[in-house]
Amino acid sequence: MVDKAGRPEQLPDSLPNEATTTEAILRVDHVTIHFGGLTALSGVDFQVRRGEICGLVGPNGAGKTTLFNVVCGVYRPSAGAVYFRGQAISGLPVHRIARQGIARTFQVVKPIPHMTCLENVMVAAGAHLLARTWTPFTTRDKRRVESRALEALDRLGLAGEAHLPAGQLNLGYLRRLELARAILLNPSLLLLDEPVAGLGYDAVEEFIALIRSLHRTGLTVLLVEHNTGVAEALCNRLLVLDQGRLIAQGHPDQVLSDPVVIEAYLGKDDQHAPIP
Amino acid sequence: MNYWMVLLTTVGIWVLLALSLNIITGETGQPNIGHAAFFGIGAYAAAVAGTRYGVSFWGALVIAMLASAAIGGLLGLVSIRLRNDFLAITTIGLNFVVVAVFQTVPYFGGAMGIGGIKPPQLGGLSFGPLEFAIVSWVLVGLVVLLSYHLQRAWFGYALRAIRDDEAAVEAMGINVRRYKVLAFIIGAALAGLAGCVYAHFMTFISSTDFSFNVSVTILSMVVLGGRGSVLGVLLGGVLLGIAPEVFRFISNFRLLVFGGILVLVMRFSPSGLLGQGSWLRERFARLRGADLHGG
Amino acid sequence: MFLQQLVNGITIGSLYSLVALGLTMVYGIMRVLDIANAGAYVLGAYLGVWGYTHTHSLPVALLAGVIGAALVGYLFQRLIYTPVNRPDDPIVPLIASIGLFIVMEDLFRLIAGPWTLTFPARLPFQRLALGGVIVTGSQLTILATAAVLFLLLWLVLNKTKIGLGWQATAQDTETSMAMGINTRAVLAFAFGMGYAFSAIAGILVAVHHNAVFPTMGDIPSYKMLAIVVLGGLGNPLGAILASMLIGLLEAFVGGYVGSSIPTDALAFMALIVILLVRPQGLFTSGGAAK
Repeated sequence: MVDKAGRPEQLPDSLPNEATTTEAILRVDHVTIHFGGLTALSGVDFQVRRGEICGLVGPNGAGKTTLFNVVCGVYRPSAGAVYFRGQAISGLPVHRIARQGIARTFQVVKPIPHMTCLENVMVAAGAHLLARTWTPFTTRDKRRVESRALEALDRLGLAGEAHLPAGQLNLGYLRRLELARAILLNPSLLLLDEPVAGLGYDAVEEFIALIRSLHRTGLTVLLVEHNTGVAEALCNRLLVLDQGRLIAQGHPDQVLSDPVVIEAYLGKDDQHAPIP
Repeated sequence: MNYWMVLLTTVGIWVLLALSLNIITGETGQPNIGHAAFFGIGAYAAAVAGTRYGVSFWGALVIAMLASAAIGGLLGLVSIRLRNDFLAITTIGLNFVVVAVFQTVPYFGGAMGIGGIKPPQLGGLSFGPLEFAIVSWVLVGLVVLLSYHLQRAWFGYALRAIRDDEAAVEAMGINVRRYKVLAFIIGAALAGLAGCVYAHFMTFISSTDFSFNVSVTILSMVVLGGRGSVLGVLLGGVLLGIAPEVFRFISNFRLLVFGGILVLVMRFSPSGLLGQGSWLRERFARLRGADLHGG
Repeated sequence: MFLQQLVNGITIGSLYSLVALGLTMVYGIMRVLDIANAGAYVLGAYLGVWGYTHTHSLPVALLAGVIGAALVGYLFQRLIYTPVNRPDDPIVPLIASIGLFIVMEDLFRLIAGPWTLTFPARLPFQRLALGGVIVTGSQLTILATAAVLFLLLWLVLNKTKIGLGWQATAQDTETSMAMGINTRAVLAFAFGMGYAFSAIAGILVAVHHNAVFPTMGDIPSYKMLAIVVLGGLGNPLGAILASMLIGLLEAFVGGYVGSSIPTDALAFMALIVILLVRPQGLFTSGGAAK
């Protein structure tokens, strides 16, 4: 069973391990975006390599979430382009980009509150069926999709919450729920927008472990993180945005000791400043 | 006997309308406050087809559904560009414009309406009140089955998810626009179906039969029954459909009662009688839960 | 003919503006399309007739309408709109407002009777003839009242604390809450003011046509929504411009084309056409669905 994007319809567990290659899976090519007179991003240019966990850090208002929204198709860049697996995706509608294999979570969680957890993830697990012409009017493959959905809930520690309305969950569970929905889309690139924001210390540790385990299954991850500690713990590579510009990129140790980066954070008088 | 059959048919048509609106507004959460427009388009399409081109009832059913679906699809295409409160006003506008067109364009009979619509024939039998009651409730049965099927199908998952959070649904790779337009097309087509039955049942229609008040009544049925609940909307349609008869002794206060129901339901139980999260439904769920534990 | 229709159009537009401003006041603060606002229009007319028959004074009639409508607006806000308002389910207050409007209309019918009352007010202005153009006394009254009220609203919105609070809220509810604006007071102000404006429009129309009847709010209730959407919602200047536009359109179509086109549907036709081209409305940005 292969879906339209040509990816095997399985849990990411069994995806081939792509971490060994260094090919760029995502290329952000000199992206600039203006809102009215405001320039939110200017000439941002970088690549995400297959199999890495790449972190996008920067002080508040640096344009991290905006960049995310450009990649996902929420905004169309004013100049520049985004390439995913070699193909230009900027300008495509959000759902088309998602179908190509970019899944995301939201900084402000977006559950479907009136649906149960299971139904929430079933929408994601059945998304490939909802993209067809006639299948949506049937209940085809519902059993199979349901068991995939349950499996994913189980993996993310949500098995006990499967039949609770998502609106009743606390933030920690909601973040897991979004992650479950994202991986059920069988993405090749996972975009996480501040995945641990608002979580307690223990929950952050758990979440970091969870993201690591997903990464081990071969997923490429690009995450926006305000907290440089978390980014340092998770990422192979960091990109630093400040005032809509990419000011540094490279290995976390090297980037976070870069005076330019420290200046950017300190200049904002930020509590998460990477001071040794 | 005839009185009851007429009442049964009337209520059946109301229930059809309520169920059709439920797909657009109840399931998908797209506020359509001008649903009588689709009812009217179906009725006029059927009436024109029957009186001008001699199309039979059964052919008119198809034509009415297609005509309403086409306009519904157009409105749906507009709607995806609009914020929900703008859409609400646009649907009201469509209702007013459609009524104005029926009232002024001579092709649609103008202010005189269209009369002389022949009742359906089946094997030499001309439809009377009994047959109409049967046909309308058979159609109600079919639409209930269809509604339940669509709820269980993937389509229903998409609609319910869209009602709660479009951005999340888009991010899951689902074409939100397509589903919103489809909901409009299906809901409008079913309203057109009701319109065709109505036109043949009344044998005479005029633009005022499809005024904004009718839209409000249909919406009240959906809201009272519980948006998104097929059983609830069926109940809402039956209750408000027979209300004018039951409340005949207080017919002077009918609008007051209708308006009051809308206000009170919204104020104290926006999920209606049987919608998700309503008091009755929670009760049922608790009872069932208790049963499970007991057994 | 042209100038005459211009005067007629501006008069109609002024009346529409008053109601549109009423709706805008409410929408700006609560994002609710308040159909029941047209109930205040009818309420104003009835209270105006009542006040006038007792005192034979037009100012007293206006005052009665304003006070009554403002009170009703405040009560609706406290008892219905604030409790039902939930940003994730905007259809709830909309349906509640339809219900409120129906209830009000039926109450007017039951209390005052289904018939039409006359409102033979003595006007402060005489009929004016300028060349071939005739401006009636009631038209002058409407134009003068509207001009005064526009100015008053502008002053209140720009010079008073509560008016500035309204503007801040209309632009961004979250920021204004953070700024510590007294939301309760601003809400009461917006509903009171909004309903009072509609009531004045109702009285002026009643005087103009010398008629008050229970269903006189039917056509305005929905037509006004079309106008405020055209105006871009929540934007007072846009509301006035859209009102004038529709008023002129109706006057000219009515004057030149005649009654073959139903003028009351014009606002909606214009709305549908314009929403196809500019989903955010004519006069502001930000109405389109993301």
